[in-house]
Amino acid sequence: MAALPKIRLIWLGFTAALMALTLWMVFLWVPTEINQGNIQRALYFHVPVAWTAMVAIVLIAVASVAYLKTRDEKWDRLAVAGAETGVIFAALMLITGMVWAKPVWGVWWTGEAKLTTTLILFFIYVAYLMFRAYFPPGEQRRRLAAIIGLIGAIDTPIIYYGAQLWERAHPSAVVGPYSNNDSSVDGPVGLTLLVATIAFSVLFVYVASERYRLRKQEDEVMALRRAISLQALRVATTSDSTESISSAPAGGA
Amino acid sequence: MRNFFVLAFVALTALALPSVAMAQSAATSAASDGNTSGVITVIQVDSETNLVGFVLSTQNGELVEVSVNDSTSFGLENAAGDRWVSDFGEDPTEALLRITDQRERFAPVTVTVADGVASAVVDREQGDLERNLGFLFAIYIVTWAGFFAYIFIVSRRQSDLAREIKALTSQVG
Amino acid sequence: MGASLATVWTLARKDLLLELRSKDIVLAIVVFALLVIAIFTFAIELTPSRARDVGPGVLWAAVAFAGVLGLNRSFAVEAEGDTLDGLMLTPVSRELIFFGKVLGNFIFITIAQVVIFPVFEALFNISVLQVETIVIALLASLGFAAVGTAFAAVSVRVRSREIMLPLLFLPTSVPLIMAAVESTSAVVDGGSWGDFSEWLQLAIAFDVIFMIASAVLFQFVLEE
Repeated sequence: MAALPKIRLIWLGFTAALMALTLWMVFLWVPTEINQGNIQRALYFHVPVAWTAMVAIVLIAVASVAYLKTRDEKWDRLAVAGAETGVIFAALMLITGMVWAKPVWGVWWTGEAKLTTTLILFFIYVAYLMFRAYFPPGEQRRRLAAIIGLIGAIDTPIIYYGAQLWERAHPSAVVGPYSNNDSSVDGPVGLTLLVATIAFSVLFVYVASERYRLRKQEDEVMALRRAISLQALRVATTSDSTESISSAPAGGA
Repeated sequence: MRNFFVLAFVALTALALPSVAMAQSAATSAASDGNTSGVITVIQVDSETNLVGFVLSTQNGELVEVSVNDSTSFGLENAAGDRWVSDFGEDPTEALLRITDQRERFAPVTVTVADGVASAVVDREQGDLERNLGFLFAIYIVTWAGFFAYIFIVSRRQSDLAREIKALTSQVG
Repeated sequence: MGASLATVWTLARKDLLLELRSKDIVLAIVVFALLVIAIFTFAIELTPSRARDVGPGVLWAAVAFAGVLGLNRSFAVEAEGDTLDGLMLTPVSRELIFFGKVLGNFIFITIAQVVIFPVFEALFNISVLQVETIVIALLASLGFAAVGTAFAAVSVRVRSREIMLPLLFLPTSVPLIMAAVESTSAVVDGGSWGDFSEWLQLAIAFDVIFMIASAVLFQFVLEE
């Protein structure tokens, strides 16, 4: 128990250092993009956040399969940590995407395939978390949640394919010099994006592991409560029986 | 631990302000290729009052003449905030109305020009670098506020539970 | 193979017979879907061109929302009668139980559509009763039944299953709804198979993937 906080602190320091490096690169080092200007710097937040949200789905899928195979609670904890952190990252991806789209495309929302996919996945994993909140804790909840998590993961490529078809069928209501967003991702831009992605991945691991720890504590509390109520029950039943034995003659007399 | 997060959040936010300012000073030299922005001064129509082109007055006082064709796309918002997105060929009358509205309001537009023909006519606001910094700041602040709020909640729950575990363990004893 | 098919049919027939007596599932789907469609005829001023634009979307939104009600009911009946445990005790593999349930739900949704489509056609004045749309409707019903049966079985034991099922079912079936709406739009606009072949492929892929995935996962649902 004593060694654990040290690792966490080191990891936190590592995350902070990488984040500081990312900030420096994003705001001071990488040159301004010629078409969009400064707002293009949103890329270095938006894309890494989106990337980690996708990693979260893979994590949920792997953890769910592993849980169904091994029935080890740790996999379930990992899936919860992945889902909750993933929902946070997906929400951030959506918000940053919308705030970026408004000045560049003139609209808050477009039918862009990746945005649509993330929105739907966001809803699926919110439902996953709500299911866990509604269902009484226990083996059944873990098992059913793993099934939902897996169905969501299986759905991901299908949703993406559908969203792409949709985007092609409904050209977005976006025109103008900023509509083609295919700015090249090489040189300093690519390097900054790479560093930012690594930094956000490290941050994701940190946040998810904190959530994992919290989940473990919750389980511990539950186990302790059960132990205490069992103890109380045992005390109550034993004292009950001694009482009835001792009171029986008294009542008889 | 909790105080640490609050401190880090404040520090990062404070760090963001000069960074944005410095980034802004670096950006003023970045001009956009083939894009011209300005206020519409003259609207040119043919004998059947169809829009054929217009004259832009740019920030430097230059006058730029552009013409439109069927594939010119428009993305303009009127004073009521009603956004119209279409190609010129789809609805030439609406295009003329919108351009006139834009001129009457002195609302600047950004035009993408190739060989004197406009391929896109959109509100200047979209390309305004200075205005966009507010959006960039919003993106930055939302990302960080989101993380810190979440980590803050998680770490508070952790310390609550740690206390509870301690109390319960002593009970089980 | 033949024996399995017979088992699947027996299981589905059990649901169909129950439904024949109570009629609550199909009736719920039909009435709810028609209500949604009727409300839209008041909410949107239906000029002919606007009806063509929004009609397919309204139709499939109505079918999807109403379908959730029916799917909910189909497992609620089992839960209320405690017959799910009985079903699990039968010496039949879990996959066959799943396919039996899917077949039952598929038939319910399809029967409901037989009523919904003509009424929709009358109210919106657009012609949807064509070979193309019928194929799309069958594909969509099959996908709805596959995903819906798996999720209904998952959410049947939750306190508030009426809330849980749509929250799980609707986002997951978004690709199928997209495919159905887009293909129906193409048909309404006078297109034929070639104009929406990609959407058709998407619907078929969705059906196949979720038939298999749900069947595999279903055995974990019914595990004690």
